[in-house]
This record gives sequence, structure tokens and C-alpha cells, in this order.
Amino acid sequence: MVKLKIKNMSFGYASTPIFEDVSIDIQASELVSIVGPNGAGKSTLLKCINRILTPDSGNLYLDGKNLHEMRRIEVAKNISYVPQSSKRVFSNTVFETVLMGRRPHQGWFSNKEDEDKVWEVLEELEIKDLALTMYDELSGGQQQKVLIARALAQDTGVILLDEPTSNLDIRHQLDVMDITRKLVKERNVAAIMVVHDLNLASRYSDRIIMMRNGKIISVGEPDAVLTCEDIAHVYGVNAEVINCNGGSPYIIPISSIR
Amino acid sequence: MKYLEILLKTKMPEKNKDLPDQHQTEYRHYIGRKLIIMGFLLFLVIFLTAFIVTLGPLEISVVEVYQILLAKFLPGYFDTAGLQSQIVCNIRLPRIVGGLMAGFGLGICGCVMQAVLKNPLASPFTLGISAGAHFGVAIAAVLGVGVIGGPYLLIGNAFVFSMLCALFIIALSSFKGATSETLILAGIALNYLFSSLSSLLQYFATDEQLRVMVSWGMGDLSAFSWCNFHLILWIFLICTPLLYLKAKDLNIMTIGDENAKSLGIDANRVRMLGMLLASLLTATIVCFTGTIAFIGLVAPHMARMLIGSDHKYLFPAAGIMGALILISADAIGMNIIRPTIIPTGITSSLLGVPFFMYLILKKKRKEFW
Repeated sequence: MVKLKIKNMSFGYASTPIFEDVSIDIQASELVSIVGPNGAGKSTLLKCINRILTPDSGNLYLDGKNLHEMRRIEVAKNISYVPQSSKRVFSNTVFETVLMGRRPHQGWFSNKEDEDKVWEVLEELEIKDLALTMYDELSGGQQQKVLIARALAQDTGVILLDEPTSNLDIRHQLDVMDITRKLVKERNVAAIMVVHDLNLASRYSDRIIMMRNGKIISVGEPDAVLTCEDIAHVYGVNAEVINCNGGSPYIIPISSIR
Repeated sequence: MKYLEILLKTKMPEKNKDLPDQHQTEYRHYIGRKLIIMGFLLFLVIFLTAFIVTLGPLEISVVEVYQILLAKFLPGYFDTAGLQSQIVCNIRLPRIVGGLMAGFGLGICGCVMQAVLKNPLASPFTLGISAGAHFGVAIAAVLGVGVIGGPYLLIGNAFVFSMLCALFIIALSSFKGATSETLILAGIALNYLFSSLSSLLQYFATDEQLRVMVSWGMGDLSAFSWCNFHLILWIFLICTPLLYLKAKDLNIMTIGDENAKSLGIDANRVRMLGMLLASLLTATIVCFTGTIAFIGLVAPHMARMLIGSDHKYLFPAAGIMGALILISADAIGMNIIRPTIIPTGITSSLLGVPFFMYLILKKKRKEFW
């Protein structure tokens, strides 16, 4: 079943196009990674899907309904967004931060149900003990988990993740990816993730979308997309791709092409 | 092994629903502490109000003051002297009630401005309200020109010019690409512009005109009386609940526009609404009291240190804090070198700044930015 359908979407700032004519279909319980060099338009695409930015043209359908005709609060009930990091001026506790994810579902009063939901999510991610800790006193990995918890509390069918692993150590990278993968499979969520680490993308994604200069170069399963030719073409990097007996391909960058 | 895992997973939530675990109990205590602090602040306001009403340049004993007040509300039971009754009911009482409202208003407006502009340096006067109001007063005092004539000449001008400033900046915020930093910078620029315009008028003013302008600029609660009371009361009763209804959105506004949008909040709309209501309330207060700038900046920070950043609690706490500072500062200004009355704006800064400095440097509560 197609969960999210992006059709001929384009976006640009003033006269500079960021991405053009992008069409993607994403199924429920599918983890799709978007990879590509800096400035390829990956993060901007995510923001357009979430209506943080308004695309210049194109359509977006969620379960067959046009997202651009929905009110923002309705969109937030269906799509959650995990930012790369969240800097803040005033500090909140972890509990308050995760409770913000309930905002699209609640009225003025936060009822018991919302609080229970937050506890449930904190329990699921094993960060219950951090509930009263200040968000900005946490390590990068813990902060990322809290932001994922917020998206979980939002209880949506689609999750967008913007470079969730970019400033984490290897242990937390694996943790975050495992959590995401588990969510996608257990809750039938469709996840779209922008990621720089090709090996993480290869290992955890069902499909990979490779972008360059605002255009999709190739789409497909990891071993179909992550080839020496495509990596050379998209990144300008000579890389060795190791395919060991049916597992996901492993990429070793060798040198940049001059 | 696998069965055991499944068994464990299904058992866990049930246990949690019946018996809140240690973390949930901690959380409940945390909320409980906030409520206790709020209760204490509220008690302090009531206590101080009851105490300050007995103070003043004219010696009236505590017993007499309460006799007068009781006589006012339960006529016929007590005999009271005319002059003393007049002083307590028509001078002290409106001054204190006005001070409570002005302080509360400035506190919550500061809290709203800091949230929607995501900036700890924002205050109700960030949008140039005080400079605009001061210019309005200068025009009225020096040129004698006013939007409304009669007894409301100064007040009317102050209100119109302060709203002019605020509306200009709020209009700016609807432009594409206007960030909260743009708005703050524009506010500061407007402040300079209107200060210079006021100085220009000051330059040509006579001594008498100058005195009006300067004393207005110092900030004072003496303008409150029962006849003009309803003006401020109505604005107060409209703006406060509307702003408080946005408490959750204010929480989310502080984590940035992109996050707010992804959580279903129309960040620009909330910001415009917040600035509009806060400006309206501030302008109304300012045209009665003059510039009492310090409270709007500091009351929210003090409240944040005590009670955390959740606007559900922070918003009322900032208001109560503002009211507390303003009425205490006013009482001290009135009574410290009797019979001379030091303007409230001066005492509130003189007393508040050292205390605030102490709090910032001590930073005992982790909630503080």
C-alpha cells in the first residue's frame, strides 16, 4: 500500500532551484534513505514533505489525501519530524520536550492520557530515568533519542528523520538506527531518512534514493543503488563496494576524482 | 527464551498502570513542588497587599485602615473619619490594585515576548513601545497636540504612539524571511528613532514641559484612580486569558519555528498574535504608569528560575512575580524618605537589579537559561 506519494515536486529559493520534479512513492513499514552530496536538496525535500517549507509546485498525497489541502495541525497528526538537533534558548525537561509531541492531539488541557503516552514512549526507548533531566544537559545521543521519542509521542504514520546519526558516536548511531528500524517494522510506520553514512543507509534501509543537484539519480534496493559507477557519478569519489554473500553492500571510499 | 521475552513485555505495562514507578512518582513530586511555589507566591502577594495598604505618608493605624476597608464593603457597621477613609479608599487602594495589575501585565507580556521571539533579552518594550509612548507624551506636553483632548491627552497620545511602533514591527513579521532577530533589531532601531525625536522636542521644551516629560519617563503609579480604572481592567481581562490559552504553543515556540511547524503550530501566526496582545496590554499599562521597563524583562526570568520553563506554570508565575516586584518597589519608594515619593520606576530598578544579578550569578536552579 502506498503511504506517501510525492508527485513532481519542485522547490527553489528565489531564482535558485533546490530540487526539481521529484516523484517518490513510499510504502507503509518501509524505511527509505535519501543519500547524496551536500547541497543535493535532501533536507529541503524533507521540509517540503512536512510543509515546513511550501513547495513551488507538485503534489503530495498521504493515504490518497492531498496534504496541501490539510490544515497544519492535521499534517502534524500524520507526519512527524526528527530534526538533526534542536538548539534552545530556554531549557525544558525531557518530559516537557516529549510532551510537545502530543500537541497536535490535545486541546488546552493536557490530560492523563497524554502523560501516559509520554511515559510509554520513554519506557520504550529506555530513557524513563531522564524524564526530569534538562534536555540541553544530555549528550548528543541522548538528545537524539529524546527527539525520536517526541516524534513517537506524536503517533504518526510517517516519520521524517534529518541526519539522525550525524553527530553521534558509533554506539549511538547503531542504537538510533535500531530504534528507527524497529519502529518501522513494529508500528507499520513509513520512514524517510536523510543520511550521509552510506554504510548505515545500506545496512538499514529497504530502499535508497540517491540525489544530486536536486534530481533523483537512482532509486532502489541498497545493492542496486550503491554501485561504484553511481557513487563516482554522484559524489565524484572512487569507492570500493564489497558485496559479501547476499548481505548489504559495504562501501569503502578510496579517493576523490580530480 | 523468546517466550520469556514476550511474557515480560506484556506484563510490564500492566504493572505500570497500577503502580506508578519511581520516575513517575518523582515527576508527580516535581509538579507538586511547582504548585507549592505558586501557592507561596500567591500568598506573598496577598500578604504584601494587606501590609502595604497600611503604609503611607499620612499615619493611619493598621486597625483604622481595616476598619475603613470593612466599612467600605459592609457599610453601616463602622464609623470612619472622612479624610482617612478618602485616603485609603481613593488613593492607596487604586494605587495598589493598579500596581498589581500593571506588574502582572508586564510580567506576562515579558514572558510572551521572550517565548515568541525566542530571546531571553526580549521584554514588553522590545518592539519600541516605551520610546513610542514617550514620544507621544512629548508631543502632548510640548506641542499640546493630542489624539484625544482633555484629561486623557497624555494617556491617549502615549497609547496611540506606542501601538504605532508595535504595529509597524508586527507588520514586518508578516514579511517572508523576517526572523525573530529581524524583529528585535527593528524594535531597537525604532527605539532609537523615537528617543531622538523625543530629545528633539525636549530641546525646544520649556522647563514646565520638560518636567512633565521627565517625570513621565521615570514611571509612577500615581495616575491610577477609580475613574480610569475600567480602561486598563478591560484590556487586562481580554488579553490575559487569550495569551494564557496559548501556553502550550508558547512552549513549542521556544524550540524554533521549524520544530513548531512540524508539531502543527503556525509559528508566524502565534508570534503575531502574541506580539499583538502583549503590545496592546503593555501599551495600555505604559500610558498609565510611564516606563517601568525592568519588570517586564526580569519577572519572567525570576519565575523561570523558580518554576521552570513550562508556560502553563511560568506564565502565571511571571505575572505574580511582576506584581510582587512592582508593589514592593512602589511601597518602598513611597515610604523610604517620607514625605517625598520616589518614582516607582526608579525604586524597582534600584532594588531589583542587585537582586537579579545575585540570582543570575548564583544560578542555583538548573532551569535557568
